Amino acid sequence: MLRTSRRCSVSSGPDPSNRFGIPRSVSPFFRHLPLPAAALAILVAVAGPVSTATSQEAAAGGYERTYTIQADACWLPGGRVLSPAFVSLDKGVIARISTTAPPARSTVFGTQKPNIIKVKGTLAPSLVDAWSGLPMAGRDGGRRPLPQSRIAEDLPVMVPGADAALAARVDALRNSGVGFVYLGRTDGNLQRGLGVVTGFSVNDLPYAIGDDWLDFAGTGSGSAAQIRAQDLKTAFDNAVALRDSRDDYEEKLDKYEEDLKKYEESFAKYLEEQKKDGKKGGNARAEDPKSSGKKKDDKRPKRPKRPASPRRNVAGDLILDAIDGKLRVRIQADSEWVVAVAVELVEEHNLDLVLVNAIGGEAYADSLADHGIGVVLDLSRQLAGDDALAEEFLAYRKAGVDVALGSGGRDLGPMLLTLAGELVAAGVDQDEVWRALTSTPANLLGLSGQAGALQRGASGSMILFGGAHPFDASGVFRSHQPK
Amino acid sequence: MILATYLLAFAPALPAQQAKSQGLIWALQPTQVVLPDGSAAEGQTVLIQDGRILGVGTDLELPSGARRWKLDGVLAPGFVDAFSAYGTDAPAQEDSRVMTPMLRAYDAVDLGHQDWTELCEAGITSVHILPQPNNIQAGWGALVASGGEGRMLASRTRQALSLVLSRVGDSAFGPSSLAGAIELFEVADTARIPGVADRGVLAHVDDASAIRSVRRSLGKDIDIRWMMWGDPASYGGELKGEVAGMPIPGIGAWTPRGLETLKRLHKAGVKIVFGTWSPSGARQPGDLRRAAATMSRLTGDPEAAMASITSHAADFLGTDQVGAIGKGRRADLVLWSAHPLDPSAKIRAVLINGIAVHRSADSE
Repeated sequence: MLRTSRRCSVSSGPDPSNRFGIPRSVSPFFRHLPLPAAALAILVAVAGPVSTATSQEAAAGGYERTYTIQADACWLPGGRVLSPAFVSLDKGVIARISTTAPPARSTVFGTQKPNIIKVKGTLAPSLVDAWSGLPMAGRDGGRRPLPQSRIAEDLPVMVPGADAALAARVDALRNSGVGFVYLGRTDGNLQRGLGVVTGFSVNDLPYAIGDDWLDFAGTGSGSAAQIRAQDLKTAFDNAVALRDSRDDYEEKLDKYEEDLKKYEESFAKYLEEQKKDGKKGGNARAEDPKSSGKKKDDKRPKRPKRPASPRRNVAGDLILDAIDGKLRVRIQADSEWVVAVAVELVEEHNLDLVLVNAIGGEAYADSLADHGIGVVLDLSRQLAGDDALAEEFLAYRKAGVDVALGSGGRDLGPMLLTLAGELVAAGVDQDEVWRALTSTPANLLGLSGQAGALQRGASGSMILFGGAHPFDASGVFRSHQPK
Repeated sequence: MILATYLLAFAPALPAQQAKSQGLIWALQPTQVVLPDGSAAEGQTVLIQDGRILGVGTDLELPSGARRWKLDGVLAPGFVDAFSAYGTDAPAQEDSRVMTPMLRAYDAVDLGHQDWTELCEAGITSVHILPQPNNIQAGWGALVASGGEGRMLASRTRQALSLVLSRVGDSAFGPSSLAGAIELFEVADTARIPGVADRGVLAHVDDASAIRSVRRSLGKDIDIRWMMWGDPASYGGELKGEVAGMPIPGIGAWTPRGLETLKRLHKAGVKIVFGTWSPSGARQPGDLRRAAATMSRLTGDPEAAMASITSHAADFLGTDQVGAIGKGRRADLVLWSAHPLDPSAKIRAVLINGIAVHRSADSE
């Protein structure tokens, strides 16, 4: 159930009879205030600091315009509903949310009225697809993906027409209500490379937000899954061994330096002794028994051997970065074997981990919750008649695991919301499902404050719905893309 | 509670005791009724007698003796699966000849098949079984009502024609080109097949020249509906304002081009209809509603989306008996917990021919 805020004009939740989001009255508390004071109070209630990072991301998206959308209502974080809603956008970012229109601005040319676009319906944040089907395979020129290959480097340049086919796919995604996606490779290699979270630019092209993610594919079933789980564990063990061998090397190198110093000292002494013995020259080479053909001199000090340097291992280095907390990790766990290993790895290395698919992971739900491991479930499973998804969702949530919903690496298009709505029919709470498509994936992907919620500083990518809720296709549905 | 009362009242009216309810008038007063335009309206009464709808409206006078039932939910027409292979163990087809105009898809239907229950539980009350489009004159479609067991409503709906070369082509015996298929079709004089003048045809096409040929050959007197295959983006403009079926895309097949095509066909006035049969394998019964919801979101036209699986689908197969809640139509109705295009809506009860054949466990 949606919560009622004490401070701003909200309702206790969407009214099923109010199918087109008819404006709700301002709360009685504010009616007693003078209008400017009430407006200010409402503004204060919903406003927060604009993050610099978000502004930078907006600049990356190429958005330029400033305008206000007036809607019947909008959904705010925490399940609050603001009605009517004036959402002001500045360069693609929400600058203001209020129940009143922004004031006119005074300029040297006179008073400038705000540019207001009126729409009918309720505004809500666009969706965050934590397991997108946006195809990135082949964008690396057909090379075999390497563990260190970065999706961020394969993204097109931000100019119109840079990649028309990709732009068409992004446009279709945006029209389906999706505003942010996780992009990773989908090949079967255990270490898939480095994925990244992207937003969409004004030219419908993806641009990277934030740091890379280390992607693992714990795919397969049956004995293949066990082998893959073991491979995953081995990859981390090997990385640790690699570090250990490097630590040993450092120690050996230090010892070598010391030994070398001692050798130089003892060799100098040795040369002195040779001079005193009346032999000619101080040249070590001349005294070399091998070159001179004379019998080996047992008093001659031995030069220490330099220790062999460890081999270079890029894949291992990336895992070590993850162990050191420099990279976040995503593991596609298609079996409980992989889930078990993932939990083990987090316990051992304190990884910042998100589990994708997490098939059979309900048995580990408490461990996942204890370690703060979020889960991304695959909505497309329902298309194949798999009706266990709702049960899994409920089991994870009951244990306190953060659950996000994604396309399962497929191109679900406008079916995403429909399939999510079916989870509600299967018994999952409507608000829980909505959060699993917006704020939870945003938090899991490190987009808090930027996506998944309508708030000051967040992306201006939104959806507008006319039904009882965004899943309801019997009403108007549109996506708003910042200009 | 009210719903439970209604259902319990209807439970004895199941087929074994149907005769007892004959002549009785039921006045159903659900929370909302989905009207032919796809919108849900409150305050409506639906009068039913002997499996038919007597009337729908807000100010209907209740006939004396009418039993009034208040229902908690949205009453919608049962969905129509416009082209399907459900309820058959083997597809209706005859590959030994090019023309099989007398083949009946109904002969392949198993009325005791478990599919009928599954379809009913997905809100699909009418199913149009088509012969495979492997012959230029492929035979007659059949309309079956779902439920505990199937019931034949029409053994001959429309004559199916096919000018899809990938299905009718035969490199050994011909036709080996679309031109050849068109020539065979034009020579065959489909308009003279008994029943075609009354019932019309359903033409499977994947090319504009095939559409023109069908029109040219059949003239304006024959009712034509279309089944679009291949890439409708390349020829769909020919079908402006007409009723045309298209397969539901499979998993991951909602490509930008496919989405844009659907949007533009709708914008051009093509009345799109969905069915569960596809050459790449049957879709789930639930996919029918998913396709309509997707179309609604895509086009912003819930009315057309609802019609794609109800009234337009009924028109596609040539009947005005199903597909809408209207006077004189069959009382094939589904009570939902919310609007059927809301995927969170659950089925509470299904009535076929005015008799409750399915009710959900939680409706009690």
